[in-house]
Amino acid sequence: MTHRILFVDDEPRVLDGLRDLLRRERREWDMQFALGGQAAINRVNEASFDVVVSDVLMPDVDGTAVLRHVRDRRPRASRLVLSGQVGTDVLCGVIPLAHQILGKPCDADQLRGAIRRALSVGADVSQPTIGRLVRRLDHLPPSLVTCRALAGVVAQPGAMLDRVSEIVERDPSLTAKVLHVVNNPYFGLPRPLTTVRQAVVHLGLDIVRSITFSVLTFIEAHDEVDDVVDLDAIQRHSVAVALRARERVSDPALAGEAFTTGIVHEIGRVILALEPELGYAELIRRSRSGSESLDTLERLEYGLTQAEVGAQMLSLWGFPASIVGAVAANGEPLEGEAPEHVIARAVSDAHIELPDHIAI
Amino acid sequence: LAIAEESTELNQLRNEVATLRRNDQAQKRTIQVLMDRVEGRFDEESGIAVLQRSVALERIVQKRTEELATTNERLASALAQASRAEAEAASAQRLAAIGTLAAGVAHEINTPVQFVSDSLAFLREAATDVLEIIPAVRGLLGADREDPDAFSRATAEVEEALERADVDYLDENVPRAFERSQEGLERVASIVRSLKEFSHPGGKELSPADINRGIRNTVTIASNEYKYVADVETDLGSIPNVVCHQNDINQVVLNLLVNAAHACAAVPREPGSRGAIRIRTFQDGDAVVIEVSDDGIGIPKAIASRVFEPFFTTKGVGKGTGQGLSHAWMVVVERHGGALRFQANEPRGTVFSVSLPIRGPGEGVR
Repeated sequence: MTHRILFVDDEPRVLDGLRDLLRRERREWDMQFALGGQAAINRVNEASFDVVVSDVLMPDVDGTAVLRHVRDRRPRASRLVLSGQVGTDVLCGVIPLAHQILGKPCDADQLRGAIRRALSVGADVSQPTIGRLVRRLDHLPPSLVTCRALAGVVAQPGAMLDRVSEIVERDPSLTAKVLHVVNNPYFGLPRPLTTVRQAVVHLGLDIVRSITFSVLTFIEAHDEVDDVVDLDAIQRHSVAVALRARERVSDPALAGEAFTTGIVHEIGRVILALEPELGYAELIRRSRSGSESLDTLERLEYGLTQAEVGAQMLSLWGFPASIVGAVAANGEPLEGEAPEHVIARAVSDAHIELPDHIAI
Repeated sequence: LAIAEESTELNQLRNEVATLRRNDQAQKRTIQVLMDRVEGRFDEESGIAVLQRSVALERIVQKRTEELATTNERLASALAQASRAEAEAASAQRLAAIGTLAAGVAHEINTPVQFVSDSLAFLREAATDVLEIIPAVRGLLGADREDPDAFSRATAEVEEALERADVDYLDENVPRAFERSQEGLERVASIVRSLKEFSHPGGKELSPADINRGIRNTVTIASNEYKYVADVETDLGSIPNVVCHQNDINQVVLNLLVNAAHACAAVPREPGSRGAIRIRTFQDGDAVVIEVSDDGIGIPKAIASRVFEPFFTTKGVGKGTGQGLSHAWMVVVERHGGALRFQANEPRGTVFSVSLPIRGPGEGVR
């Protein structure tokens, strides 16, 4: 099956360069090129695309407008940004709309890799709805506890980075989003950041504030998700696991990663709860009344567990392999001393010590 | 923040200088009054009495004079401090402008770098693909023409190699990729050249400078500041070289150009329509005039008298420091003895005009 990819830029030479660069992909990728934002919007109206790769600063109709149009008109398409250096205000507008942000100049491998990830993550999942869901996700709803705490802090002009970090690092959805943003290739980090504190320092308060605002405006999804899984309960459990996991890891370099892993280890539940079509609420009811665990039911029904769903999304969102691997391990204590093994053991031990919050 | 702190500091210093100046004046007056009195009494009173009185007065005068000397010292040091702070504020303004500019220039350079490196990657692949045809061609050349099987096998291999390399595509696109690479590199080179000239070390000295050339460089490097909102048209007349600090004048033109772009961006427009900025130079007697006009939002009458005030800005946080025009005023009027004016453009927009004496600032101008 060929995938349809749309490239958008206001500089014809950039488009020509990309066409030549990706020429070898022409059998698998049906590549279209739109010169400028208006042309892109016309193309998107005419046909669907799997991936849209857009520049940001363009005269008249800019990249933000293009991405917004793609999100509303073609919600299944992955939205990638390929942009030169832009100011913080522009960046803040793009962040909530982009699945991945690449900086110009971007080399061939990086660009191909980003497009492949956007096309293939979750493609091997037997339940196609989950694959599509993971690929198109750009936000996850935060807990109400987090919303209340943030509302009191973020609006203040002098909001302290520390205070914001403290709130963000305890919320699975916000932690995932902040680390997603900072680990975008655009920021050119030599290796992925693994804790919210590092990320917040790197991004600065303006961008973090804009991320939290964009997550807060996603509150409409909160109630739907909260009907299926109790977001506050997931957060309480995740924080408890994160704190214990951090204590269990003796290597200080890994302690922060263990904490982050603990926070996001059940993010797959939030993802599954987002799509009513998946019937996750029903699955939870069956696990409470029947003899089979929720893990078993997930595997039976979807072919993979919530942990694997979460890991798929975290990998697409640029999380380091150690966290992705530890989340995917899902309580299977891995042998070995690689970071992902150490972290997976710490998280799984902590998880087992605590009461099963789903069963209640 | 640093700029805001500096501004408070600067204002404090200005106040201190003013107070000291007042004290100084007051003491000078006191001394004058005392002296007058001494002289006035001379002819009426006895010699001894006058002597006694004048010794007492002399002491007072001496004391006052000493105080005056101390005050003067403090005044001199405060003045020196104030002018240092002013110089620092000016250099902070330059740095702020250069910071914005650097981000814009980075963006300008990233675009050609992107397509040049894409093109080179393509050309490398193309070369590999084409080189892979050669063994097949050699095989064909060496094939036994008398053996139809071997010959058609060799022919098929060449055809396959041509197919694999997608020769038709290469034929059409390889020359274009070379052309594009060259254009891209030229673009980068011209931006770097302009940037170098924009603030080259010699430009700090007072020397005859080609104003038009400076304007062309400024328009090149600032293109990221305006190109999404307006078109810039230059109408550069034949003008003599002007004795000036060229870097400072470039900075002024940059400030006016960026302001014009911001004014154009502030006008709500139909999609597809853009602002127009025009830069014109001409000679007017013994002065050269640089005119920057735009069809942007314009300057409201209510604030017209304040636009050259330091730190006065109507732009949002992060957009303006309120120092662009006050810096321009300092450079044009105070340092070059020129004139800086603006007026409303009809039907919309603003014209700023900078007039510089061709022979440079006269005596008494720093």
